[in-house]
Amino acid sequence: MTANCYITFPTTFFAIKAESLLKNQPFVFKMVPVPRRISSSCGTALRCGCEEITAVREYLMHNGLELEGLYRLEEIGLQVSSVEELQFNE
Amino acid sequence: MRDRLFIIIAGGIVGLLALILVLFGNPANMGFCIACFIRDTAGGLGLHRSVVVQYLRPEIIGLVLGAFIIALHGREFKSTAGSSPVIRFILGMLMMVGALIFLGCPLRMILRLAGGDWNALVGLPGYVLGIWLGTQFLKRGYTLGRSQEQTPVNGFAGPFFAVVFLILLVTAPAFIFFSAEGPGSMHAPLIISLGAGLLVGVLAQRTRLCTMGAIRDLILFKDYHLFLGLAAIFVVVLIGNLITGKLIPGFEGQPVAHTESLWNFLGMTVVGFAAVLAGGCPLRQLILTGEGQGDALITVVGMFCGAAFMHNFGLAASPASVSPAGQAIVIISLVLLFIIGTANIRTRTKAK
Repeated sequence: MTANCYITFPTTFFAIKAESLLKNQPFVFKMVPVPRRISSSCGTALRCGCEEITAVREYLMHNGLELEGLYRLEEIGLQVSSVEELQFNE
Repeated sequence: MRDRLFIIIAGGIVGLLALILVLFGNPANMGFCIACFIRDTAGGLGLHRSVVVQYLRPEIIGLVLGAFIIALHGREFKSTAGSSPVIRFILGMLMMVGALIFLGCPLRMILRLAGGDWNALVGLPGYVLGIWLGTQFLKRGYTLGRSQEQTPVNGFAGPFFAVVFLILLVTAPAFIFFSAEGPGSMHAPLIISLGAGLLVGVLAQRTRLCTMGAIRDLILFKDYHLFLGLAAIFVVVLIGNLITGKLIPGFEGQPVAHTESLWNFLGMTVVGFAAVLAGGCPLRQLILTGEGQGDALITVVGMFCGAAFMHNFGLAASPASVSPAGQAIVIISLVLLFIIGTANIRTRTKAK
């Protein structure tokens, strides 16, 4: 079982901004389509390890980005077994 | 991934349904064409009087209702609106301008391509260019702003109109127009068209199929997830046309198409550009309307007005040619899109 964490954005613009901001940072991340289990919207999400998500979120918010939601997805094989919306703690 | 397989299967089913609809009476290479069908529906309502393209297309009704039902079922129906409605209305109009110069929405472009219509091969790079132009604005901070949650009645408006159209289609009162000849008179039986629309509405809502998103994600993030859906549509329709002997390669004499390459190219550039700025291709706008998004509904209303505008003023292309006025409106549309793109670049974020 693997777990990945995702950050979603209110508009594509913020997703692109996040990618360019994080490029020069030591975080391991990937821009992916928002997983279908999280939302029916067709935007772009940022996927990263769950151990780093707090640091990534704080870095992005510190740089003035608007975020929409944080999620943790547990995947067994090819199936998503659970989706958990994480607290924002703004 | 399971999602990958699902979008490929969904694309395949959309392709299959497009073939079936043509088999049962829809115009050639027009199993589905969101722009054409909205134009026909606008004609059916009498918003324009081009007598050969008037029919309340059940596919449009089905797409909205299919997405609505499955969104309700999946608890994804959400009534939202308020993200630059006026701009979205104009973007809807402009998408229709481009589509009625090319003679098809991006979905029909794929179907035309799979039917051997090389004019669509000219339209495709135009579409990609339009999407690329749009992404340049996205990268620079273009956004129409966040939408807000609204009372449920806002979200029900789209599906409500779809039901009203269905009632008008079935009861056929005197004020509803039905083409006696031309593309508007060619259609599959109501139940098949409606069923196909409903099914595609469900599939597109579940998979988020979008002809613009497919190419935008490739350009922006090298992500090919949505693109797989388009590829599946193309492959299935291509094979189907091969089997039924409907693959007729060439530029000349293609059904409901003209051979003016420059305008095929630029028409689709307008559609792609407008679709990025509006956040979805014509198909996706219908699906989002079913999900309760008022912003998508206003874009669809813009498309209806765009269709009426193009036909009432003689701007829409015909299989014979693109009129000088039609050519002018394409250039004006591109200028408008650059203005809309530039004017909506917001720099309120502190991000550098």
